[in-house]
Amino acid sequence: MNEIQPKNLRALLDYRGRGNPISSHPQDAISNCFPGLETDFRNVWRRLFVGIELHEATNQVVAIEPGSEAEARGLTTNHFLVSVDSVLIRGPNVMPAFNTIEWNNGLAEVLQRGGSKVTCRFELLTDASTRDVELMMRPLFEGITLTEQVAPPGALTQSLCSPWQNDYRECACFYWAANRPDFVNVEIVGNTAQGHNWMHKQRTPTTPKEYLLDDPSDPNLVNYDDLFRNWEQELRFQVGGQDTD
Amino acid sequence: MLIQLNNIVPVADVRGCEKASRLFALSRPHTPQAHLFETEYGCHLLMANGSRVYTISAEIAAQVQRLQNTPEDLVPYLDALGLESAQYITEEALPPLPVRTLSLAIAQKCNLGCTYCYAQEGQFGGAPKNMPLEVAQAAVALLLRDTEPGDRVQLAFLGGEPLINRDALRAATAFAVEAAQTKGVSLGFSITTNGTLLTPEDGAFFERHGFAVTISLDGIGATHDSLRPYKNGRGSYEQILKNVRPLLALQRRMQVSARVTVTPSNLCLRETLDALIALGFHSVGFSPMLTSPTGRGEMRQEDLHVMLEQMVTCGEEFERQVVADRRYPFQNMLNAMQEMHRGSHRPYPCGAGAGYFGVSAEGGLFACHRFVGDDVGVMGNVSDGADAERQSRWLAERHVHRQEPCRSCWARYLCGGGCHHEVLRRGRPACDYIRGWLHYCLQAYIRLAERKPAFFGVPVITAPSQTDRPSLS
Repeated sequence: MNEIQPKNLRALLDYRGRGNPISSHPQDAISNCFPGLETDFRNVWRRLFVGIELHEATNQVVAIEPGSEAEARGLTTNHFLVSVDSVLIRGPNVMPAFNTIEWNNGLAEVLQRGGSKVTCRFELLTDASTRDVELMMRPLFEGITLTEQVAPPGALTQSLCSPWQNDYRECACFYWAANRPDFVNVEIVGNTAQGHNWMHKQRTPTTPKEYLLDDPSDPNLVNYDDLFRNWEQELRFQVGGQDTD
Repeated sequence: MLIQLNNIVPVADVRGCEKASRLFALSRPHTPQAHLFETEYGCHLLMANGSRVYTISAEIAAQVQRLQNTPEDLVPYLDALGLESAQYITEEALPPLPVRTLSLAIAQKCNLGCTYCYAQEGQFGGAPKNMPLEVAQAAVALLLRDTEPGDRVQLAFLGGEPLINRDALRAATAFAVEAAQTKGVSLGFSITTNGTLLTPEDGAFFERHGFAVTISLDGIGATHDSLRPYKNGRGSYEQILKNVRPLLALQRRMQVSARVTVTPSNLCLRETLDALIALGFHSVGFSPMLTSPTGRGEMRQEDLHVMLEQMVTCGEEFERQVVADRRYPFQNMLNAMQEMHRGSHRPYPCGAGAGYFGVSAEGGLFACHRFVGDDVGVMGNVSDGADAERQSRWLAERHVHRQEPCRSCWARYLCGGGCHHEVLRRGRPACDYIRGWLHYCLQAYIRLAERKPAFFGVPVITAPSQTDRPSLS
């Protein structure tokens, strides 16, 4: 028997194994979810339904288990999950077959049915036709622990933020582990602000002050490879918001 | 000739109250940080901060016991075990709180003469009066004033005896239903009544609106009659039962519960609990009478000793019934088990003066239904709401960190400091009882968590199917 066993919910949630840091608790860590600095919680949605795997960021079917009910009912990797037991997991005003980041919030209403079959409606990307398939939904929790079926070892950390690699450039919501410059060499002309994108390659004081919108394929902007290989030369020091060497 | 039974206070016999005596000894406060307790499943520890419950080895228990009178040694020891935690309850001032529950003294008059009534036979020491409908409507407006669509608020009818002012009660309810619907707010209703004026039509009305109905019953037959007679001395039990039976049969949206006020004259709790449950009450709860305006009916130390013995007897029956998958709605245990499982922790005993207020017939706002008409608990009025300065002063003064002897008691965050009304009038005579009861509840929680985890809503999953082995892609 372990020397100390937390028994009630508060003790279980408060528990931190000896030696683990404070950030073991989600409330004391960054706990972001797109993907995530400590865990990518979205990965529990991948294996929520028996027979298929979903993409954690969209609701696309990315794998179908051979011999499964899902395969028998004709699901393909061109299918997207639209609703579960009539609960929509797609908001209004989205592009066809794409979902917002928070698509899985809609699952909150049905998660307690884990361990039983639910009716999943899928939409086909190519022609927007729908089909309903009864799938077994795996239970999310056992006690207060995620079940191994939805979170096998390694699942929650298989896809994390890469603050110092891709996400340095990639973070589309400008949420990044530390601030970095964005709009630099700014001057006010009339009632507009003009300046450069900090990713603007090889700019000089005479480079026109036009902020280039982020696009990794724009040759005028630093790309991933430039960063990985040569960030010390590509990224310039800023003093008072201005390039300096 | 009617014998005035309520003048004879029985001598409480604490002989034979072995369980209670043992609980008093085991639950004595040593250090405010933690409390040791044992069950057949081993040694356990309650960490007061956050109301966290642990099972611990005998070695750790022995060490805690050795250090429990020297917090300067105990605290580092517990920290080294990994049991430290950020402070769950601080004295940070609460932000301004919206009203969430209002209790209307819709009738400040009563037809009974209960010996211990906090409202002094319903009138709060003043002239008997009914609440005008306009005041009730203003209270509803206050209740809904700071709500958003989707919020949930509660409206309670008390008194005196609320059914004396039935017309206003019905009209206020109808008004509230419409007003809440307009705002998209969910509104729950409740009533506490002596039951003597209940009609079947009241029952239909309460059922339609899903009222939580609480009937005040102090025991069976003569036991009840000796404490809750009509003003002319006649017993009320038979009439109440006759009135309540149809409601007990009708309850679906409505819930009809019984509340027993425990005095030295009605300590046969197990008998009372079994009988009231058998009658079909949705739940039955007990509350000790600690401060009575006349002094009559107040529990003394020896009475609390007997009460603890009786409560534990009831609790043990509750445990047996739960393990046998049978419903036994002993409200005190239902609440305690849920709170222990969650680790509820509170700096106050209730929401009085925070999100909960009592409204007097004239439209005054008070800290709760017991403080109606009492300057000690005045908060404002229904038109203007609670005075912000008064409210923050109340919340600062009533915080459990400022109470004695609460500050040094392991049970402070489970108890919250005790009913403000009782404490301000009589102090804290029931601390030993409360600690003894909580010690028993902690033990019962461990036992039930072992024997019936499903009772706590913990999903119990049998071994995963051999064929369900999702692989990492």
